[in-house]
Amino acid sequence: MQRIFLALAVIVAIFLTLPLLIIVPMSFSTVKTFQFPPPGYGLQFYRNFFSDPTWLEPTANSVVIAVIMAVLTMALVVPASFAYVRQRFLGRGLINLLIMAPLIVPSVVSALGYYGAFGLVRLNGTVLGVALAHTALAIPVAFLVMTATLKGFDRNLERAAMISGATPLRTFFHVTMPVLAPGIATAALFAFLASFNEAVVALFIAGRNASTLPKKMFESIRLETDPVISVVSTILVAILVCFMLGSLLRRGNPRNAS
Amino acid sequence: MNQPYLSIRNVAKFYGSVRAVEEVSLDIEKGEFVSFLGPSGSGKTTTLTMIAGFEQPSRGQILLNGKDLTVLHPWQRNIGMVFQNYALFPHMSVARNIGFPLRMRKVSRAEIDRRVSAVLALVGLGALAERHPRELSGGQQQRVAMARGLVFDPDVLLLDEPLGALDKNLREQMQVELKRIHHDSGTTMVYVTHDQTEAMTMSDRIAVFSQGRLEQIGVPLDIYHRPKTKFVGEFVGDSNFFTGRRREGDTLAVDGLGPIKVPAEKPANAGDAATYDVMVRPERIRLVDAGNAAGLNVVDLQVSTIVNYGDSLLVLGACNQLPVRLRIAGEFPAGLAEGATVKAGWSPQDTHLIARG
Amino acid sequence: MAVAAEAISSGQSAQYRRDRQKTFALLAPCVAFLLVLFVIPIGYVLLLSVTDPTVSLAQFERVFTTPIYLRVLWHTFFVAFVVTVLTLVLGYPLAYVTACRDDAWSKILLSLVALSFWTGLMVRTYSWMIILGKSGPVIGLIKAFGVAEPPQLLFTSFSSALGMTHIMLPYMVLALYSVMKKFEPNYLRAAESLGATPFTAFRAIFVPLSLPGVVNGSVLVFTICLGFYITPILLGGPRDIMLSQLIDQQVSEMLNWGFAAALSIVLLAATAVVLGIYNRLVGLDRLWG
Repeated sequence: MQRIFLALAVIVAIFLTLPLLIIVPMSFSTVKTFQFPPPGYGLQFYRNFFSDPTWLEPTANSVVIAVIMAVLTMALVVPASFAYVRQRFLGRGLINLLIMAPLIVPSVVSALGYYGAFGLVRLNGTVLGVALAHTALAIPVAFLVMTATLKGFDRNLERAAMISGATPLRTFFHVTMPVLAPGIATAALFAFLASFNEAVVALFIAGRNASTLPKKMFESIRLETDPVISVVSTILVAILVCFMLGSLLRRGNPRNAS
Repeated sequence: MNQPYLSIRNVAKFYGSVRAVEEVSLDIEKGEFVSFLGPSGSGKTTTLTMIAGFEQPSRGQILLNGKDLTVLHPWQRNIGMVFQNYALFPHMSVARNIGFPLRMRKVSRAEIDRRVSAVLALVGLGALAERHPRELSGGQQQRVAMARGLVFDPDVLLLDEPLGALDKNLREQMQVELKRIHHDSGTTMVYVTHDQTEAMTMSDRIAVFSQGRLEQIGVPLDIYHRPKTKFVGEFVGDSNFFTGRRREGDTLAVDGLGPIKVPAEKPANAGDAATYDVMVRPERIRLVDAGNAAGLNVVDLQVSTIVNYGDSLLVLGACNQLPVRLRIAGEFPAGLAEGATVKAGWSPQDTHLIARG
Repeated sequence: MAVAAEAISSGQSAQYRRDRQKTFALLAPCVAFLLVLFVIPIGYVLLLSVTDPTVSLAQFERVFTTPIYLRVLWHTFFVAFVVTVLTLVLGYPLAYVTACRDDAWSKILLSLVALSFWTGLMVRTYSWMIILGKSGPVIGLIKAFGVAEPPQLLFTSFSSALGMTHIMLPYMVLALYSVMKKFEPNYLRAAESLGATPFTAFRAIFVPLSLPGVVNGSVLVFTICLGFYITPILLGGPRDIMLSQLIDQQVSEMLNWGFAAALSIVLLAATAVVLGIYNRLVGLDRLWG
């Protein structure tokens, strides 16, 4: 029976992965149509991508926006998660609901709301506007990671520091932050990715001046302009694979076991 | 008389309506090793936490060398602490862990290096200075924690059940080590444990806690042979407890056993009409026959179970439905078997009385 | 003694006050940010739905009384349900293998699920456009079997649902995985030692204990599918559209903001109802636990 499950699982895994693999050869295609298998292979579309400002600019925007909002998200979430996990106060349920709300509300609803509200304050089509919206949307995810990290934190470490002569402030910088650093980094990474991959809200509010990579990809697909999108997809998947391989190798090394 | 070094006076701690610690007073001398012994919830850890400063007493004072400790924060108190889960900083090497209290006190680099090496030698871990905590065994982490607590010459070292996570053999080894470190450093130590063997073997004095109160404080042998309350008698060591009434001189009528002989001196707080808790340690009872029973209190024992520990026997039985326990060292006596009825006896001097009241 | 006691207790109440100020200071920035930069925009949508073009519930009336729009609502729920069932059926064996085995297979498969999860929505949607497209491999295969006029696969409800299933599958697997991971293999061994066949042990012990994961995953996938935007728009067809496609039409083609807002509020309400029921029965914090 175990074998049946394994076979089924592998089939499903193939279903999951195959489509991604299709994209890679597509990016080397020599023709503009969505023909698969491609009639010939070449690097033309890669050259197109790296020399096309209508692709490079949104990519750069996506990175800039993601970095700005990651910093802002962490600045808001780290103190909030400390308070939430360590203090007792009334209205925890309500605050939790508020913080989780961006995750619960469907993105098209948020998108509509941002478009309307930002229209009143001329934030549409600006990098700042997109960064602010993405911050709100990333707060729940970062909060979840931070609260989980904080809950797993051994408070005796702080007591040990204090009884060794460290004031609460020095305890925070010498002990608490360094030990929490991996968790904070993970939360920041999740926030970054949430913004980098975010499509719906960006579609509504990014406009031409703050266009993001997902927005450009969406428009490119919709208008069926050219398979440069498969180049972008391949590059993104390749980066992801490298990242995953990298973290697997690091975890394999016992010196870095955490 | 000298002022006691660490003085806990009428300290109480309430959490709302929960009385974690009630009216605890005790004095500790400089250089002593005192154990706080008791079951969980007895208040021993809470009292330790108040000495450390992580909790404030609801009432009472804690004085160190005559100065009030409670106005100081934990980081101002010059007290060291060893935690049950060691709490070693995972991102620092052993040397930096131990040097941490010295860095907090702005000690010079050279001095830090010297003192860290010295204390590492004290705990027997010289070669491991550059390792990280995750690379160490439990026993080694334990020693690093102790080193960190001692390196800055604290006025008192507090230890919160530090050996709880170790297996039996390692624990016994570490108990000896701890005593040695105490002897070599001369630091005053307060040690919290629920393990009475540990307290008995390591302490200069033991403070027995129960339900937030201090039951008794004294040297181990006193605690063992002259418990002041039934709780202490039962918690420390194995015991038989009976109820005695109507005492006349050196004879006491014990429920279920009849009249027995007891030492003539009264316990300090007993009136004439007192009811007593009568304690007899199982290892002070032995099997007797008509020939060697002179002067002993003798009862008929119906043996129900015999447990053989190899070096001793535990005999469980009943006398008139009252449970009685004996411990017999050495050879298996003839005539002893489960189900048999034997005669068991003990010296009147081994009968310990605690007045109820 | 009384003075000392008072000093200690007034010190404690000063401490409480400082704690409360500290809590407020730590939470306030995040809460304020969300109130201004999330609650207000959502409130704007609500406002729009009842004020555009006039102050009334007319837009909502329109949603619930026009047969076309009611069909869209129904279709949305239907597709969400189908995708949920499909991801459950496909995801269960995959989750079982990754959670309950401890060998190379489970690690490889888990990595593939993670890879799928982290690859963006757009990339995966695009890949299905290639696969199901007129010049794609599936049509090619069908033609190879001799079918002269292959059916249109792309821009249909089918392609939309397939794309959504593919994208939602990792979510279901991860929800199942986190519950299955806690399963004790000893339960199965105990059952088998008592006479159960492996299949019976699985059915009677593992499956019931995996149900919380099934519920979690289903609620997660269902609610996301209700509001799914990108994939239905790119892969779906003009017939049998989902709510998000309708909203998109109203915004980009008809410029009918009030109606789009009303549709959004209906979507939000439907999501809230499903999650509310889940919260009542299980507790919302389990969903991301």
